[in-house]
Amino acid sequence: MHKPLNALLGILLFTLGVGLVDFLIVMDHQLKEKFQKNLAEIDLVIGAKGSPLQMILSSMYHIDNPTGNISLESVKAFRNPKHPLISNTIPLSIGDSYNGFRIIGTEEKILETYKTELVDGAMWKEDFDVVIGSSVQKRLGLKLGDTFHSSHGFVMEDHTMHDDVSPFKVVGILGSSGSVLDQLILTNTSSIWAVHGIEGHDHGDGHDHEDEHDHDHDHADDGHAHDDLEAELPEELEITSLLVQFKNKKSYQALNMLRGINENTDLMAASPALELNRLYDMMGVGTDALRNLALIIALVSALSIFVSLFNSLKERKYELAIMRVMGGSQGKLFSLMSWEGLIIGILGTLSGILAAHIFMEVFAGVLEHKYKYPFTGLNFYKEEIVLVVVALLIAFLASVIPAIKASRIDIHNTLAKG
Amino acid sequence: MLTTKNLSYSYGTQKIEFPDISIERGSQALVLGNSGKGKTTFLHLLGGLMKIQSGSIHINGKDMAKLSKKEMDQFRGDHIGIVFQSPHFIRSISMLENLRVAASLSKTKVEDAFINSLMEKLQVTTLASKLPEQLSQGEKQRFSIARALINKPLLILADEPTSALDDENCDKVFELLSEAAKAQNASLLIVTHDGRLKSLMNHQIVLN
Repeated sequence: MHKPLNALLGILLFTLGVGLVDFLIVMDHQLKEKFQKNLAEIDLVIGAKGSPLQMILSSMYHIDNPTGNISLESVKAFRNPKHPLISNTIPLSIGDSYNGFRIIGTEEKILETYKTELVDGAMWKEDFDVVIGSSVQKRLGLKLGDTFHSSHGFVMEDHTMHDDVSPFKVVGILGSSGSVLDQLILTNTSSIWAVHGIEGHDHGDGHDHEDEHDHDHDHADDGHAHDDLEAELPEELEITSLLVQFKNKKSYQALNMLRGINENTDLMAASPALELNRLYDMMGVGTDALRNLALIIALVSALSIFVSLFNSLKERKYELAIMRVMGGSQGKLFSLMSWEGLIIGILGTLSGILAAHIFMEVFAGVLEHKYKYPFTGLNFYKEEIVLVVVALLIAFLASVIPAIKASRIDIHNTLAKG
Repeated sequence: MLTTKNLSYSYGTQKIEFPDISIERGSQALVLGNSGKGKTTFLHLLGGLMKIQSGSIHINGKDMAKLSKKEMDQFRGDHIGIVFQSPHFIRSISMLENLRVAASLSKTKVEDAFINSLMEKLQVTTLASKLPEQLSQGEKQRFSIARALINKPLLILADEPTSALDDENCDKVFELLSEAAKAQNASLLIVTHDGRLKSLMNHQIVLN
């Protein structure tokens, strides 16, 4: 092409359009992949009334605040091993964190549910023993035997530190599973109660040993009047939510359980799969808007190819006529001209896809922290092949009319006037 | 080698009739005529750049009217070289690359050594890496002669090759063209109204 700036503009526009679409494809794919992976065959989540989506996000994906707490007593019936419909339940106590990573009070079987295993150390035996996810280990550099104080809520601040109780001690490290467990610090439920001054069952004596840190026991505890609660009965113990697996996912009663809980109890039940679909629908609006924008950019870039080729026809009519004189057939000129558009398309498409993946890789860290899942720019997907084909087709179509005009140039008239 | 018979061409109601000509292999002729006598039309008809309306052209025994568009393109690429009044080149590539493109469009096998010898003969070797816009009109015309010769043609057609040149360049370009045609045993037909060439060629055809 004689005008490199025109070609550059075409390539740039093409890069932008293809890059945006491709980024959406990669992002969409990985988000859905992660969301799907973390479904972990959980059929129902039971928690405090509020927004069902919020409960799913907080209990399954650990990216939102919990809807509140529920008493252990209120879900006792679901935890009965003889329950006709339920095969497995996992309690979750959410609300504390360490350096931005959530500390979850739960039971050991959560590992099995998320298909994760210990790679180092052992499971907790006592209160304040914690098992940490692989990303937590990597990011915070914690080792077995390390201790730390949790903080209330999900933001680390001095005044929210639970530094008046015994510190947590790392006793086990989980292998990477790509699930949300990678991002969590797990402990038993009674540790969470102990931190908040509630005397649960099976309370270990971990208060006094491992105390290498200076405890400021006089520190005023804001809002956690644990001394008053010490006397309270185990029936008042609370958890945040309960993850439920059904024996038979398709049974009629199991499907009705959700409605039954929501209508007849103070609890709220939500299906992760249903809420996820709702979330996809909501995200879809934003994705669609972006996709349409990308489409407009792609069309503009096609138009720029068309216009620059069309304009160059006028300037290059002598060159084209001369090529005919020298034996170039009409087909030859057609293919020369359409190749020019295609080359712009090919370069733009390649750089667009490259840009999308580099962008994804660069922002993987930011996204991982926000969404609690690792992202990568190194995965390629089937949809991208479709994208490439469509992009090249657009580039070709944009050059078809100029190419036809080029092939039909009147040699005699052009050269007789030149 | 080249013969025409009853050749005529009509632009609307205006009909131009051309004299029958016959040119031997390796011989050279001048076609003279004032503006509007159809000099360029005659040359474009001979070169297969426009469709024959009536009459016939035979080149090397082949009836041009019977060739399809594509066959005509191929025949021209392989056997005819044309030099135009104002030489046009592909602007974005060097002169040498322009010659290579010309060579690639023809079926005739062309080696780099041949391109080099052509450039040498036309005294433009030092300009090979220049872009078309960096050359003078005379220099470009020499390259366009080289380009016309690149497919080792049977017939070289030249349309006013010298009218845009000064006297010195006119003589030189004509000489080079004539020499090169002789060297390749190609027939040369120059269409012109340039009086300076009249004294240089014996065989003259006048269009009325």
